Amino acid sequence: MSDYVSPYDDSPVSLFVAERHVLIERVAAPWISCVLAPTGVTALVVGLKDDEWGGWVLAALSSGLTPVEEVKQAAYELLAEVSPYKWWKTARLLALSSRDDIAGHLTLAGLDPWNLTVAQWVTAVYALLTKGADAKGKFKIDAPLDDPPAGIIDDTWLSDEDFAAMVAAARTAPGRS
Amino acid sequence: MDNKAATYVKIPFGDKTIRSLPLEPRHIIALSMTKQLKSTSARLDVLFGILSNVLGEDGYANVAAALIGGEVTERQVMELVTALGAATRELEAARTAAREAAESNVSADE
Repeated sequence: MSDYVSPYDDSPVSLFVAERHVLIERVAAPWISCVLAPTGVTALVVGLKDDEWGGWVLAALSSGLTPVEEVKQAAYELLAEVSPYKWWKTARLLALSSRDDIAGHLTLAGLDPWNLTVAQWVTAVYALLTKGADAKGKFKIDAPLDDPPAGIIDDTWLSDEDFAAMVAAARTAPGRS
Repeated sequence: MDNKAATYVKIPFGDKTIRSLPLEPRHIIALSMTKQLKSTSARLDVLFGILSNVLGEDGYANVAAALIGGEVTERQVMELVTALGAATRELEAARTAAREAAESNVSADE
């Protein structure tokens, strides 16, 4: 049986950090607030649950029991799990949805972040942004959304099969003995 | 290790000054994220935890002893915690300004 869970699933998503496990609701609104925090997406790990949980994580973080990197990684994985997009694209779409012009369009369309999951919300924002755009316009929208943040390498496009095919092609290329 | 990039700040404490608090990135991140907690008491719990962590056992014991001995008031300890948060915000602002200046230099070069 596969462990795959669709990002459109509406059941709570599991989060494990600082040696504790919690379930996080997928309702979009709190996620938008968190990604707008000065600490960026890391705030998701603390702000999406109650204060007892948030205090626990912050205590573990500030005492050094839990490394900053673990909290960041947990935030990335959380975002990746609730959306069909890469975590950074999801975070950018969540943040963009708070921009007044975009928020206005979403409201006029009858969309409410308290009634939609993160996946539904970010795909709606993306659909709004790309609506009516030609290929050139879509590229201009996609490029800044898809570009990985500094220090992040996106190698997910390269599967093991792709890599094996590249090696095979290189070996049979003209000039190779 | 986070310890490599400690930042030192001066915090007034009653009629004394805690001359240098070694704020490490993990403290700064944790302090920034206290805003994610909804209740004041939860935020203060975390802030006191960070204060204890930053000052170390002896430093925190001194603060507690000063409080118990009546040398400083509870309000002054609260102000110490608040000052810690304020120092963090200043550090964040300075870092943001430095980053933006660096980015604008890159843009100008391009």
